[in-house]
Amino acid sequence: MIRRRSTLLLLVAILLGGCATVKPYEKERLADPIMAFDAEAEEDARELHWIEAREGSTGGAGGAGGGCACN
Amino acid sequence: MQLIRASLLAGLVSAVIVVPAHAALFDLPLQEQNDAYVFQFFSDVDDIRVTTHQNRYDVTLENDFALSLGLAHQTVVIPAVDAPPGSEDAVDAITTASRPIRDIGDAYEEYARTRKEVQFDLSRPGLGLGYYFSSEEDYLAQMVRAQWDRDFANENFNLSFGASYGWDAIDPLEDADGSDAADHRNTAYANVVATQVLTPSTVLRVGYERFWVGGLQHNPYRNVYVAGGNEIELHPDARTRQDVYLRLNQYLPLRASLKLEAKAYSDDWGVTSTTLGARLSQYVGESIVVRYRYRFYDQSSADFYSDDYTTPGGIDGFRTADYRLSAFDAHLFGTRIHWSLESILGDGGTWSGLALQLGYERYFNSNNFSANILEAGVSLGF
Amino acid sequence: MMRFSFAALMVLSLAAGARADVVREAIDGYSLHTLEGESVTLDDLEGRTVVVNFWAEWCGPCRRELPVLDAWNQELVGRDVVFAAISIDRDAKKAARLADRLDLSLPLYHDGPDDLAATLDLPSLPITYVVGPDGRTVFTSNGSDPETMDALHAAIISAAPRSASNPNPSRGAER
Repeated sequence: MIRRRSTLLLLVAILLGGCATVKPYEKERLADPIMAFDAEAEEDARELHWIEAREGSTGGAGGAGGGCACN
Repeated sequence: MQLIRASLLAGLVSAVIVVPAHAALFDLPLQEQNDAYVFQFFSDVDDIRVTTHQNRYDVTLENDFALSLGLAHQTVVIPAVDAPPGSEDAVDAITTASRPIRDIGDAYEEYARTRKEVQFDLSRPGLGLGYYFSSEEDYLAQMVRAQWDRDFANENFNLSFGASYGWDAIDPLEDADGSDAADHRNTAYANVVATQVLTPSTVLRVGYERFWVGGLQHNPYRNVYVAGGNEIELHPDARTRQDVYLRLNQYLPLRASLKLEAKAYSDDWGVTSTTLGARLSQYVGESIVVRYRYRFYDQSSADFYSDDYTTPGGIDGFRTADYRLSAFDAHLFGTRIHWSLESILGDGGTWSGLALQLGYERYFNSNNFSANILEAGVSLGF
Repeated sequence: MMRFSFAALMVLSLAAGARADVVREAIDGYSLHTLEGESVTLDDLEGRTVVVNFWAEWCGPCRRELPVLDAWNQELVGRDVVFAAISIDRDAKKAARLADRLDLSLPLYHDGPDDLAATLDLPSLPITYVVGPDGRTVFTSNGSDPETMDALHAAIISAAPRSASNPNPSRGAER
């Protein structure tokens, strides 16, 4: 089940790579701090510490990336 | 062992303080800097209290290098057994305790443990390296990590690969009915993450993570009731864990955003789980952001979990009193306020990059466990 | 074969020449706003070198580049060059706050993301065009890394002749 879900999601990711591009001058909203994935990175890391002491699973916070077309 | 730990920690802490203080001396050109301090207080239904002080310093150097230094100090206080000595409740509490109890008197005293943590991360666009170290009375953890990422399609698509390797030294304290044999735990981790800008106000992230854990993975102080008696807890010494997750960030009218998250997890101990979450952030004026949050969690039990083991060997030779390996579901609600003081303190001044934040979360699960988490923080960009 | 190659070269040159004029054609006589909201027109550009920079408050490399352009605006006072730094922020007030924080004095304008930026279909942010006195774009830079800024500086010096009279009346704080 997890393998099927993983394959499907990775396929979605590859397909999305061919999506139409958003222009650099259209990315103001994406650059807003309330849209950043990293905005909660520290909070998620702190939470992972006490969550792992209370729940049986882990993960979900990894990864980086996604630019704004600002060089 | 204690002396080595203390020396290593002292050396790392000194480096953390020395680097920014002597940046001018060593002619390190610093650009944007940010320092953030967070205080967190956690308390749960069992009256366990966790106090955390965490500080993180970020600095951008020349040629797009960025350095991040983190320090944390955490104290966990486990209350004394409050049942009358010799009572069934007291015996039960002592048998299944997850803390060291050298003699019976220890159980009726509050127990405190401390964790100190240091991390370094050095990165530049496309590459990051990091080192993590934490130390407790009976546990020393170290980890190195690396990440590579690249943008495609005019920075509308990003692909990232990450990996880490951790090695932990475990030296249990003396415990009357536990095991104090020194042991280890090693963890290898890898991830792949894809981020795609979908529209000028929507971005999607998909990630896959895998962990390989080897070594001691049960609590050496805890006992399990089996076939009328009790035995030391025993988990397999190998575990392969994986999860796949999706995050969607959507900008909403009136300067708000909605972040959705879904994660599916499984491991070879038989635990599977689903996590669903949402975060709604809203600007109030120019300086304040209010955020509301909800998280739902549901998991199945491990293959060898039981409320009632009928043989000393447990199930397939393994036995556990760790409720984290049982089936349960959980909810978390929270709110947070972030306040940037720039408009009050004025542009360009030393303190103009000051921001405050305050947050509260409530967590509860179907095991009758609940907790309150309070956070307060201050950050300064300069 | 030779005739075909020559014709192809002519077509390519004309196409390149036409493309090189796109920036100048777009900005000449274009109606913008100052960061305070006053309407202004970019004119009096004939025969002058124009450095057109597009930036945004939310763009990190832009925040690093602007003080450098500001310094060049003062440094190149003896040359006949016009600077125009155009913010594409949706909200001009955000752009104005950044300009105050960085204490900028070079000519700053606001146009938003949907007009000139879309017309020129800016390929990146920040982006700086150096338009020579003949109206042709002689250099385009995207980024604020040291190598790019060095090349941009050299291109401006190369394109901008020394001024025979007083410098550009738009030099200095207009805000």
